[in-house]
Amino acid sequence: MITSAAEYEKAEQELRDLQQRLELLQRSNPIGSKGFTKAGIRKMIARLHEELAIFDGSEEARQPQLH
Amino acid sequence: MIPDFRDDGYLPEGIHIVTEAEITFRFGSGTPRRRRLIIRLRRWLELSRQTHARRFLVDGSFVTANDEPRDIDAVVLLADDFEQQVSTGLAAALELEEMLLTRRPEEIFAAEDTRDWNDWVEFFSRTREADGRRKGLLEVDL
Repeated sequence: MITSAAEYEKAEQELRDLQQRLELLQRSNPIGSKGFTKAGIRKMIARLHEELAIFDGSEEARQPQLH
Repeated sequence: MIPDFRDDGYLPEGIHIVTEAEITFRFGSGTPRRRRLIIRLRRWLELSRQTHARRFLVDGSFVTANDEPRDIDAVVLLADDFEQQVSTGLAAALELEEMLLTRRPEEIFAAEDTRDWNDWVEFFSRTREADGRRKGLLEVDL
């Protein structure tokens, strides 16, 4: 669960890294190959999107940033 | 042996090899939440053994000092013939396959070779702390 803007930024970076990893896998492994690994990455991407969305809509996200 | 937590509540960086009994004793009791999570983990381990998985990684707040962990993340390095086991209809393989391909549960992930495994280890070793520190993970000896 994301509880601060700093954690939000870290989660965004995790998301970017996973998306890049998935793209590389898709390029080097055609459809039907490495399906279980790709599914796991997609699952984690979905989870991160959900975490980011929850924080976006939270009271914490509406607080003024201190930095 | 599972090392003590650091002051920040994480395990020391690295992969710590443990037995199912050790992880159950250290992390799977204490609170009802932990007892619920260990039941889930033990089922994943059972399926992994039945399908001759090669390695099994455990992470999530379950392996921190948190009394009320939110989640337990796991990565299973599948056997080379896992797809064949699914094709032949082996019950354990079919059950594990569904877990890996869907979000039910959303905490177990597959690796199909060492490169995938290392990528997951890198990913799960991260923390969201401001200083970018890394944490330790557990590998259950199958």
